[in-house]
Amino acid sequence: MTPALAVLGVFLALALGIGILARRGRPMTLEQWTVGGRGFGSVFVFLLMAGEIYTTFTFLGGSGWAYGRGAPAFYILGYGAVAYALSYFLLPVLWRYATQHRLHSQADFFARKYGSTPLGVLVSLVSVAAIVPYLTLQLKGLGIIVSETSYGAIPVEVAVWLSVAALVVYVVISGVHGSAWTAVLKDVMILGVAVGLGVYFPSHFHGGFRAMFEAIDRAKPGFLTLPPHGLSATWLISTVLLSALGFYMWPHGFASVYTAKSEDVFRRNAVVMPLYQLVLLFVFFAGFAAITTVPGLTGADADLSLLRLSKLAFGPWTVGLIGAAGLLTALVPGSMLLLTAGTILSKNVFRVAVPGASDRTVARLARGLVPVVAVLAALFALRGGQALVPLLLLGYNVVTQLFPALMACLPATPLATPAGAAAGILTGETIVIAFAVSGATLPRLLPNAPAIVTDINVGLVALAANAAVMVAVSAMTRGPVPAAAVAGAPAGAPIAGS
Amino acid sequence: MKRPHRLLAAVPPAVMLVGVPFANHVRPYVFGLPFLLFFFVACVLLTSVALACVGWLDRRADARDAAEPSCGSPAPPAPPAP
Repeated sequence: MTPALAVLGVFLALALGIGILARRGRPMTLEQWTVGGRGFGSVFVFLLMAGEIYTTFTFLGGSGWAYGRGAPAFYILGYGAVAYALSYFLLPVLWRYATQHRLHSQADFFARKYGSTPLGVLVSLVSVAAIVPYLTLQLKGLGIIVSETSYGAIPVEVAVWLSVAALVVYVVISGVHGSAWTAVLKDVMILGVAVGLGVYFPSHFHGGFRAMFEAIDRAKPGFLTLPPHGLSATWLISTVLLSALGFYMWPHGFASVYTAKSEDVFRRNAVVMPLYQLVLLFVFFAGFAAITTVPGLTGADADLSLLRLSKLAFGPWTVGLIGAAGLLTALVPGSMLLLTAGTILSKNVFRVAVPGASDRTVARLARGLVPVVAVLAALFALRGGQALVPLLLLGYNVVTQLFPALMACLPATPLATPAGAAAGILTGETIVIAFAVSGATLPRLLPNAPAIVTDINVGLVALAANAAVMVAVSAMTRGPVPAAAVAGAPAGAPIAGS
Repeated sequence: MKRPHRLLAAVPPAVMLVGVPFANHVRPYVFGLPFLLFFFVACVLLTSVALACVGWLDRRADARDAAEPSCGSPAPPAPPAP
């Protein structure tokens, strides 16, 4: 056991302790376990949301992409700002409706708004499908942290399984209360570590920010601007747009909106969140500093750059602290993801299939599903190959397909029918999955089209098709009322089967 | 539109999305940052400022709506301009 691993162990124990303390004195009903009794004020909701948003992805993926790709990594800084502007208007509307109807999950929202349980099931399955790559990313990040801080003593495979075990124990014990309190600890750590490293590395290794960037510009001309093809300006704009629309479509983010005490919480948070997001800037600095100092990490290995550079610069105790900050950035969002997946599968899929199930059975099943989902994600994480950023982008492509259906249902009478919403979502997902599975790309499909067209993020193309199909199918299935009357079909008697 | 000041919130995101192709340079360095990175940082800061303004104007509008429910006359004692 290295000193770095010991530090990591202490912080894991601390997080578990906080989780156990946080739930004391509260009966763990589904309401408490998932939405914290709807009593969280500005600070907690802020921490919970920040906790979900600033994840291992930010820490290792952000620095990894700055190291491996350069300027395209800036998209991460961009989409958050667009999403927060949107959140100011969107979240209060979601919160009002959810609180009024005592909803627990994102699928509840769709099911209630559209008055369609099957649509709720579809949304549940989509959101769990999006959670899996996101969770895979967290476990991969945790695996990297544990194996790097063990200085090679623990192989990545073993580290991933250790991480799964830690995460599952943590979630089953504490639920959402543990997440909010651990988020406090995590935010202090990540702020300190990210800003510390982002300031220290450039000045220590290069003698300043400007000197560092000039050295990078000399060594890799064009690295600090967007390339004309591939990850170009078109790619960045479409990806920022797609990710911003998808930002609050994540089921765990959506559900953490429910934990707020009042809608004012969101308006205040929308001002602070963009500032908090600037932590990313320092994460980029750390990644950039590694380019000339620890060169040669290619592909998915670029995600190791921050920890490799830390090991070069500091002794094992400090590396342990940095690793511990990374551990917490995986533990908080990872636990929220698992919590949400368990709740969704239990409440919005199982209960629909078995309507007679008691609240206790549903609550117990939600907890029982946590290890199942975690193991699934671990299996994906062990397959390897993918860097952290592409994994997140895949998750975003999947989850953003819920956006048109959500927008259409916000007016008092939904603009789309349940069939239209479902057809749109299925169309979008089919396109996203077809591209992901076949490995097809727009440049290959349209070899003669200019880069400004082919560099568009496929998720955005799928989103457009999704919205078009939703509108078309809604128009067909709504059917003008007189026509239905002429056909003699009594209202409320849907034709089954066919 | 009932509250036109809310359009303010759309300005920084729009500037960012439209401006990327024009800001795609390394020089000039601003505060030691390559220009493109500085551009993103500036847009993020502006988003925060814009949302703070919208929030402030919304609270003022809320207070005015509460004072005189749904009659179209302008608010009599106009609050001092900032």
